[in-house]
Amino acid sequence: MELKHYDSQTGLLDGSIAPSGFERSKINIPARRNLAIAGMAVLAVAVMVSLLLSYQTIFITYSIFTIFVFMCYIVLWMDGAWEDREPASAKEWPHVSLIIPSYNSGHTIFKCVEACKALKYPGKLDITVVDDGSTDGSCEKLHAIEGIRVIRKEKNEGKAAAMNAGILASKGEIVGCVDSDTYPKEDALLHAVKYFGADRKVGSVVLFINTTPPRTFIQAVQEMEYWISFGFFFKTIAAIDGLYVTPGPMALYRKKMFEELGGFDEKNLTEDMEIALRMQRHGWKIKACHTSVVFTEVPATLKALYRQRLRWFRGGIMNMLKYIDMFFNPKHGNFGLFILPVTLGSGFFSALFILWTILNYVRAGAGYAAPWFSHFSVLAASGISVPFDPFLLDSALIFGFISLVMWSYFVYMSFTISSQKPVLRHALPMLGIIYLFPLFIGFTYLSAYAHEFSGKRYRW
Amino acid sequence: MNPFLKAALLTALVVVLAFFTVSQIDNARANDVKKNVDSVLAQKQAEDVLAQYSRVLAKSPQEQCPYLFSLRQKQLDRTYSLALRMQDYERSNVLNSEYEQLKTSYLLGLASMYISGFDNRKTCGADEIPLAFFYEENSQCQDCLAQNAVLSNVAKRCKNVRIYAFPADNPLEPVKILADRYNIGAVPAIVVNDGTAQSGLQGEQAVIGMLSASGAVCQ
Repeated sequence: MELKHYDSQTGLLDGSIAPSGFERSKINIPARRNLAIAGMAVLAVAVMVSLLLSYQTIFITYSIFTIFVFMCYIVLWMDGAWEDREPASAKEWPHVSLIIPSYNSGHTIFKCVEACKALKYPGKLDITVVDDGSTDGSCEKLHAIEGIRVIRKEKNEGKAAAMNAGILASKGEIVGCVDSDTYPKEDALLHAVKYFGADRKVGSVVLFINTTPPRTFIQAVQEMEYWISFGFFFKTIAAIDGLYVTPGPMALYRKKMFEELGGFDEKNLTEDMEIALRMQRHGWKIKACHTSVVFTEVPATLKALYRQRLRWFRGGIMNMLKYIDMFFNPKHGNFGLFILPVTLGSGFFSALFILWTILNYVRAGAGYAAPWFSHFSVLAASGISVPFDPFLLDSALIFGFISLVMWSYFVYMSFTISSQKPVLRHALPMLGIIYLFPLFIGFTYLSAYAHEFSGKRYRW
Repeated sequence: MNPFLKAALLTALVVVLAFFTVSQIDNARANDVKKNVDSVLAQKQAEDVLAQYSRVLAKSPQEQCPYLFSLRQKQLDRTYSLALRMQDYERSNVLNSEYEQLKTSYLLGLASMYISGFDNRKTCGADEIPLAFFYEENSQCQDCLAQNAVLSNVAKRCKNVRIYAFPADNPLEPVKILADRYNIGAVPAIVVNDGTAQSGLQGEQAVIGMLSASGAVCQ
């Protein structure tokens, strides 16, 4: 098997053939520094411009942007994105190779392998676990399982490198990459593989990622978030060929696509997004199959969730800038004209908005709190409080309210897509996803921008 | 129709409706303030009529006094709370542009009432003690907020004290002349009964002490 060489900085193919395996990208330090300087400059200009505006103006502008983006999704949905577009039953069932990269995942890998072995598939199916230098003894135990192949890498080189090793060793026309903490439903392949037969340009099919039953409030919120993101949004975006990520937990790929475009970028924080953007650039299609359900483990604490999202968002920023030439490029259709600008813009605006909200509240809070601290004795002796009317709402909040109503509609739609009925246990997580989660996302984006543009290295 | 164009048109419709709702809220609040400012101005006009009556028709200069007491008592608290409400509404306002005009009218009426209060005392011997509170509206004056809180409490405890709040940084001449008269340099500053300005945050007991010395009856 021969694989094309691609430039890890730009994602461009140079036509040469990588002599063995995939190109091992190296971080180009001057380019990264230039990126940091450019990013800082953009952020500084944005902050300076917004300094000239009142908080109300920023709030209204951000809300109108959000309303427009949400309206686009609603219109696309109403225009037929909700329709079931699953192709008719496949005439031939191609050979599928599942690859499970594993690093010290002894607590989940066996369940994952069992779920993969239980998959119903009429065609040929093989399963390969690529152990990425585990030290927890899981590799040795995996050898005892029948019906799977185990590739042992002596040195830990990361998930992307492990998947590349698995792809190179695979024999199937279709390659499925499965996280070691992900458990596909037994009929997952039956639905998803059909898409490859229907169109030769389909390079990947993403599955409907759900969470395993939640044990904490943070997980319960993510359960709904996954229904919204991988349900409503993915289904809508897929209808206009606009998917910009092939989610890490599980996605299927046509091996020919890897042969043409190269493997996963091993130095990328979000290699699943990078490969999707590379596919979009080179005209490969990505489809979403909502009848193929997989369950994945998600962070249980806020700190773990923050770390995960920080990596996602930093990787997102890095990849968006890497593929910046696709932005507003009519050659890439809806993907270049809508999906990419909106995705980057949403993150950037939410970060800026959160920054301004924090500054505004710090300023207002300081205004109300300062007398208490600086002249505590005067006020305390008087037994009075500083006047503040919490019920006097800014009339600009109407715009935020409209955004919230639309966001709530997406939450409702996501229940329908995932065939869930709202029950009492959903009440609190629902409030969390509607009111708190957007703030968390904005804050994490802000942190991601600060980390990325300061050039801080990511620590796994 | 292109779905993105359709979404843009629908967004435009929603935004227009949102701005309409915002304007309704802003106008309702501005009208509330306007009604109260009009009430203050009407009181001022009523005082002017009583003064005119006193000059032209009254058999004695004191004939107007019972009517004047009744008139001023009705508005004792309203003027001070109105200043604060106007400030809050203006801050939460998006589209209404009437606030500058309303503020001007209000401050003119307030300055006029402050000055005529002294005239009434000479004529009628009223026991109302005026307290002028100077603050800044265009700066982050934390002490002004604290002083405001102190004075709100003082107003509740001293029944015959009337508080007039003037923004020292307002360019309106009647406000400037009062600030100059009391040599207001730093805010917050309070002036009790046309005396000397006390700059800096004053505690409740200190303010009540000053008022009591001027004849105020405080609990």
